[in-house]
Amino acid sequence: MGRSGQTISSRRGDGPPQHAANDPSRVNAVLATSLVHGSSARYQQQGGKRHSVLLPTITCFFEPASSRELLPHMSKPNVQGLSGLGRTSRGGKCAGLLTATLLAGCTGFLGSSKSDETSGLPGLGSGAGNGVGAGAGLGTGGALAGGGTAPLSPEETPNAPAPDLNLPPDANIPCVEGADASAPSRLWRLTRLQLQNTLREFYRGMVPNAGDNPLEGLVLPFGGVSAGDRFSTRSVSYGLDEASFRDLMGASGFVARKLVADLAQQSCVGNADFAGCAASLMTKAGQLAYRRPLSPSELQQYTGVAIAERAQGEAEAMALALQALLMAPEVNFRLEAGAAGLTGSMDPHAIASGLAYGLTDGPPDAALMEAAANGGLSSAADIAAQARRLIGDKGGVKNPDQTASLFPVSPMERFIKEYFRYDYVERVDKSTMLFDWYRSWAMLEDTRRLVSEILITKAEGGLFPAIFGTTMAFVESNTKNNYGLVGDFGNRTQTEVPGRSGIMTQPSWLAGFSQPDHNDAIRRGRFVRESMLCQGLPGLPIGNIPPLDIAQFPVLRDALTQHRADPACAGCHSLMDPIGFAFEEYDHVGRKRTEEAGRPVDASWEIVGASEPGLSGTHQGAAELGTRLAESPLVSRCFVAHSFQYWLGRAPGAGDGCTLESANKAFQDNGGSYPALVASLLSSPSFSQRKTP
Amino acid sequence: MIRYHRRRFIAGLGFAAGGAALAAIADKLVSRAYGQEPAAQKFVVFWFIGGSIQVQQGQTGWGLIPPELKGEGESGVGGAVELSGNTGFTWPKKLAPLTAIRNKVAILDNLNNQCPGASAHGSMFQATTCSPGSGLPGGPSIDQAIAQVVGKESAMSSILVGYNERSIQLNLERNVDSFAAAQGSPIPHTTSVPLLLRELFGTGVSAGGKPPSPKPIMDSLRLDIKRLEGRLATEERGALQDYLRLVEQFEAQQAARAKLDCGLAPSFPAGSPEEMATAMTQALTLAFQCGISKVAGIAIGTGGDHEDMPAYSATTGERIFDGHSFEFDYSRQGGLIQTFHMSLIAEMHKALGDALVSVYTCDSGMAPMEGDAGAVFTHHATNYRVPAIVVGDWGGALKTGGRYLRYGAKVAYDHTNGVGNNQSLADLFLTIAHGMGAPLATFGGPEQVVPTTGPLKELLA
Repeated sequence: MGRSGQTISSRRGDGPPQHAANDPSRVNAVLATSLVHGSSARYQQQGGKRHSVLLPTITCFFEPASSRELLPHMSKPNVQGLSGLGRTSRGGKCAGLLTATLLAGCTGFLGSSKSDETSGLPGLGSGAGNGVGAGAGLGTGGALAGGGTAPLSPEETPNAPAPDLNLPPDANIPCVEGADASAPSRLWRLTRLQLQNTLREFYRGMVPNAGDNPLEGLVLPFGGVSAGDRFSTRSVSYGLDEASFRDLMGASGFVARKLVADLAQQSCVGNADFAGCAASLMTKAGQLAYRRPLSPSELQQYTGVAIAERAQGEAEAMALALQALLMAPEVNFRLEAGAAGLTGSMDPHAIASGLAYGLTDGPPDAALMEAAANGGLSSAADIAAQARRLIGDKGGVKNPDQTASLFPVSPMERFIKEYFRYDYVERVDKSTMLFDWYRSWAMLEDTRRLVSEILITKAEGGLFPAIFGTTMAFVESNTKNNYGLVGDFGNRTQTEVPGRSGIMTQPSWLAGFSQPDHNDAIRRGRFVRESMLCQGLPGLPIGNIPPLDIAQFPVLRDALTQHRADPACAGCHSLMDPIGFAFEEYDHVGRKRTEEAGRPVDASWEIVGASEPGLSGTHQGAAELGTRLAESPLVSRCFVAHSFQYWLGRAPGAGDGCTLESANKAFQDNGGSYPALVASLLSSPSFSQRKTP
Repeated sequence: MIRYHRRRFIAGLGFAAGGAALAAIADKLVSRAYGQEPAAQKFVVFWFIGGSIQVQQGQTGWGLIPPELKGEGESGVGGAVELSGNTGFTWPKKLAPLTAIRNKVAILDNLNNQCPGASAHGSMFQATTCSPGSGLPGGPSIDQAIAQVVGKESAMSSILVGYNERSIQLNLERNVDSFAAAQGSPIPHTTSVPLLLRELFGTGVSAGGKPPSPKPIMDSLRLDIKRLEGRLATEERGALQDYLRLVEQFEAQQAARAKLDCGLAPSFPAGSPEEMATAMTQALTLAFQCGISKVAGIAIGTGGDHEDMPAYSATTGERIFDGHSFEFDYSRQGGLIQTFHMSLIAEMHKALGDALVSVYTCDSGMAPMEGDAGAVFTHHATNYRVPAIVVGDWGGALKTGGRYLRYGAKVAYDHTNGVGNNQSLADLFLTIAHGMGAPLATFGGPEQVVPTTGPLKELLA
């Protein structure tokens, strides 16, 4: 809470000591823990604490300036009160050092995010660079190779660029035998869907024959999704706030009162042994709500509410007790802590909850509760078996024919959606005058159905060739125009579309990674670089960047030549644009094309600085790109790292190398089986072990 | 104890969906209802708008730089400038709806978003809280920093609303992209008009009725939290501290709410983006008048990209405004949208008079799309020529006075240089905080403290 005259303390306890506004040491301290993180370091962040773990940082100094410097000549006579406004910062100098480092990083070589001997290329980032700063940069790579520019003086260094710290995970964390894979204990808030399923199953457990939708009319909290996250499962992004708390009170009250009404006499109203009845009811309710048996003290606490409030009427008393139960942190959050104190393996019920919510968005089913209660989750094999059971034999897809839904309903489908981000199609508008058939929601649904079908048929083997190379598509009456097809496709028909290859040639993906009226090779290339190769890139630099001259260069490839001609741009754009050109054989609404502005399309592409022979060189077209990505060991490792992020709700850290390696092995050894990959992750120590930092 | 019979008030005004009836007589009625003059109350609304505020669009005339300054430091280099008085310069076309209250408006130009490591496209938390770019806020957004001080005794410490293209298309009830309670603690804003009305005027459980005492539930929660503290690592206990704080806050707010009688939820049309924006501002006006809160935040068109600025087809008659087009007409469309916002601000000020101050900025880069040497626009925004519009003065607590204030810049605005403006956007935020009775010393989070020089002396009386 804020207090007058003081800064607001951080969420997770107080931050560093607060200094006066103009205290240089404060600023210095801030920058000493500043933010040029490698990918792993950033995602190590838990509970708002920054872990500047892996990279040295740059310290800069703010110096006061004379007030005379702050009084540039006044151009109008009636200037008032704009003088002597304190000090100016030498933020330019500090910012410049950061800029130079990051730009130097872009002009250096790329490996994977960690230098490894097989790549033959050093990575970006730490280590002796070009003598610029302390070498802080992107990733956790090795020495910055030469080829960069000479260091710039503080006066000529530009503004700090935008370090895009939404960096991909580290795909090459080494497996060190004996490394501690434990993660800090945490409270992981349920999503709205998970809470909905929890309350529904709670209700159906309490009221026999409650029906499929017993809580119609319930208004639920937790509806927001943090827009800046790579995946929606990032646990630190979700907590409780004023509005959610209010909504939760409303929801819990609704459920409690309805339950009391529906239970009628079984709610203990009118029962001669009210206290005993209340205890019995709360025992059952507590187990359903908490997903584990209540402890004696917990049971006494909730039963005590009913007894204490009996004077308000027995129905109200029971409702208050039930509402108190449903408001508990352990009902609305998943507690992940060591069973024995703070360290060690999680309690079996917590493991059961982790599996259930992760794989089904709901509470543990009876089989899982039974396993948790009777030692059936005591080994990695047991946990993996339960994970496989929950995934099922359809690649985790629960409602394959759910055409009404615009969004994946299962976590597995949702991962593929968030990994490829084909839902970006909703963010880009196209001209309805030019494309009156264009329906983004239909395109989205086409791809959702495709993903569903891929998971059902290929999840257990051949996932990569499918997601990067399938010619299968779902088409309907509007989206046939995206594919250039003729005929009647009805509401939606599965078909083969030669010339397509995987999800990144779906019109939804192509349109989502485009501008309103032209392709966006930059974003497409960047996406491949970051999501498939786990190689991060900085954000746009601050400055007045002139627009591309699309009018003069109607062929996009020619327009983007400016990027590679200008040294200030080339460092980063050479890493993005050449990859994005692979998709130039499609236009910005996803139609295949052979010509652009009257010239034959040139879809040649290149991954500059590729660390694998299979990804090196110049090639043609999206199909070739898909094939090579599907066969790449780096892409496989990167996919595993992204999967880790999604399923475990955090980025992999230094201790997770063996988990990543095992998961990748499970993926590869089982013919590219995604369920095997997921089961490996969820049965790993990274999932089940907790510690106190 | 405030007794505010809103239904009678509305009926007395002949309230219709458009809300225009909340006009000149509103102040008088509010005074009678509260038994005090409006100036004694203070309300603040922060507008965070995705896209940009064009400072300089000479060719289309949708910018904020008065034509009297053309040719003199268009790029902002050189001296600080003040054009004062409500007749001293040509009023920008964009601000036409504010003409009648021009003497209560200040246009600030050349502010700098000096967040450490700020992104050129600093949108969402990066703009409002100085996020380090990790997707999480670096500290409390300014509305929350103020609300946490002045909103403790209100039924709601703040009211956060807004929408973007995504929330409209997906029919979302909440977005999480602009506001934050603290470092790492984003908080959602309501993007559904029905939900907003329910939150403000009806519980949804017992609409219009008073909720039962939450004490037994709160006491039980305290026990839950205490029991859990031993199971979590020190840092993770922050989540429990949040829980506990929310328990206490809820109790206080319930007590405050019990003293109000705001009546049942009104009904507003909310089909188009214009209707949604109108409904939200009308709801905020009523909420302020009833005493539900003193602080509000409006986030429109915010989100991950410029494409989040929703369509305003009814207002502009144009195709959907995407916010990132290269088209020449971009600035005109953006200008029309922002003029529409100004009309909403004008309506709120009509209803709330001197009690209200509105602060209008943009969040996408917190910066204008600006050209150098008179070009209409460029592709990428910057964060060191940030404009802001302040409307209202709390009865003299702010020295807005119809002024154009441009702060000096050291270096020219061009491709490779640019830092060095003297005044930070955070200085403006602190000014508003001080004016609202929250004399914050700094802005930002513990690791993302924004360099500031304190409140703007030329703005704070």
